Amino acid sequence: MSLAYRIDRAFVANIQRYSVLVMLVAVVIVFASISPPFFTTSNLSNILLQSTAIALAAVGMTFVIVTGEIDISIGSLMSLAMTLAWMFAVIPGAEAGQQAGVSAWVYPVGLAAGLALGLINGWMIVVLRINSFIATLATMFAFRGVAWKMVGSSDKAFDDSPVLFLGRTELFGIGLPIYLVAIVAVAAYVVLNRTPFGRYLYAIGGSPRSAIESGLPVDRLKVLAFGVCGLCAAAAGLITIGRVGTLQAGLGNGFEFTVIAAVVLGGTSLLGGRGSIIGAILGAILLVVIDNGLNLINASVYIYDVVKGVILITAVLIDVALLRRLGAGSRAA
Amino acid sequence: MIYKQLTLSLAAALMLALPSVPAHAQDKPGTGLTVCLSLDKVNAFREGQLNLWRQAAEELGIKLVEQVAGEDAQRQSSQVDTCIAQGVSGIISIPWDNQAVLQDIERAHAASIPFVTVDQAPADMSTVDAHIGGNPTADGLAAGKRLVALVGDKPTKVVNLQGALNAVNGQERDAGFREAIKGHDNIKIVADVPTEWRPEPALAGMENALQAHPDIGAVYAATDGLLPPIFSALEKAKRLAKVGDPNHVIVLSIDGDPQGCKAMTEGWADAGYATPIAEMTRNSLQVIIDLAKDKKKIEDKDKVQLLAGVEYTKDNLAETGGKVWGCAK
Repeated sequence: MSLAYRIDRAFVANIQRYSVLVMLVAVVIVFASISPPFFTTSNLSNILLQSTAIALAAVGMTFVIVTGEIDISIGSLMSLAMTLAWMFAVIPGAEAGQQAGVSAWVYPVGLAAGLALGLINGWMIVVLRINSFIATLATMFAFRGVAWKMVGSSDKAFDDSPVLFLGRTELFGIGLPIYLVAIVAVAAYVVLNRTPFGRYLYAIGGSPRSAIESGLPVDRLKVLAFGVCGLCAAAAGLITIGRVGTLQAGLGNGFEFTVIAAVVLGGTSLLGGRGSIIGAILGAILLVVIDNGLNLINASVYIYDVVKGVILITAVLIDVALLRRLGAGSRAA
Repeated sequence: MIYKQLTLSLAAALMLALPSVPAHAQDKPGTGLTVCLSLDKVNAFREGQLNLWRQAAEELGIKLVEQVAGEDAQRQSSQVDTCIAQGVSGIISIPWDNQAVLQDIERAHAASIPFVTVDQAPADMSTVDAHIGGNPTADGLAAGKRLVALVGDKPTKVVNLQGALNAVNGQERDAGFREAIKGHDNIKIVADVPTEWRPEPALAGMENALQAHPDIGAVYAATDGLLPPIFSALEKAKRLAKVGDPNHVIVLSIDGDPQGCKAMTEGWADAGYATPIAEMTRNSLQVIIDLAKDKKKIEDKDKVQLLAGVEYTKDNLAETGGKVWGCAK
């Protein structure tokens, strides 16, 4: 194996691993050159803050996707978890139907509900042996329906309640959600890459049959992966309602596709066995950068989704081309 | 003997009472009618409408079959088919897609079922038996004119938080507003934000607009549901101030829901445009009664009822509050 070949192979592997970063840098350069306010400290901090909910949910989604499964219920899961949290934490007002406030119980209850709903998804997949796409498609409808049934579709405002704390508090000029995502990302990276649990998840996605034959507790690990996904989606919900200041019936509508797009942009294979936390977070930031940049230049409202679609397909094509080159290299070697 | 007298008295009382029950029910103009209500989605505004529909249906003696399409035109069509199969007396629809509903109307008419659209007009108004909605263009125009009056000659940068651009209300509220500020060169829309009526994109759009233009002077929101993210973004940018404060950003929004009423009462917003949904919901049921029961012909001039919103401000809330559905206790 020649030195030139090895250098080329290492180069291609790195480009493949960091293709989302390359794309992010390219998009940043484009927007920075056409919109002066884009590349300012306050706007970059703004972008990070806006990325937090998507990034957090993308971290959780990565746990599921590396096992070769998918969870398309997270938008509805988020809505139901926040609804349950609101029901538990709401402080009734003097008159019937009024609310005096919402207590800090919204945090533990919201997270517990997210974890429980994620585990329910996992349980359906491994015990009932339902395909994860179908199972979470069903819960996508069911979770939202249950949320509406329980509290109706009127808006729930969170004026001056502890709910706003997570979404609106700043520490040294940086929003609290950014710290939270950083901590979760580091923890998730360590779990996925440095613990048996994480390595087993990759193994399950890489070759489910080998994982079973090796005696891995595949079912239990998958249920846990869905639990992590639900927990992260609920945390993303807490950030969202804290930032927006209201809980609306449509919370999380379409959120699952944004999150899956972020994960795929980050280089995670939908077939499982390959994926990274850093990639998922960069994918989330890339999607927000596109919206932010287009907003700043006041682009036509009709092109937002077109641009995102083009970037997503470009990222996938680059990824596929680089993988083919790596694969061809392996065979040639 | 006493038992016989009691039995006879009871029988007499029952005979007097029994005919009065159906007579009372038949007093209601819609007795015997079942109306299918096909909603495009659920949110706070739709919940307000639904409550008023239920109230009006009870008063009119109509039985309602409620369907929600969850922002899915295909699903809405299937639900309409179910209603047709049930043989309902009439269909009232808030279409999610103004083109897709044309097929629904055609199928309902083929089964001789009257079809009325509410709030969101179909792409071809001639196909529907009646359309009763707000007047989104007039509401947008009124909001734009109010902005022109508020700012005078002062240069003003505006953030335009649009609704869903596949919906007539979203398109026309936007168009009306633009029409009103046209020719006023001191007023400039610096950010158009497509929100799909959802607060999350509105928040991101507001934050981004404030990054590019910290000196924003006004925000126009296509729906009151976007008010919490507007205030959240203004607070973060240290621009949240009540009407009258020199740092105040003008806020105009449409719907008149509880959040709009609250923002007005507390002095955060300048003007709102309350959609007359009580009238809208009741009139739609009355049209079904006219068509399905009384076999009346709807005159062409009455086929389209566009009810302009009621402009309310903090100053006129005492007079207009009764017409703002979100202010109702």
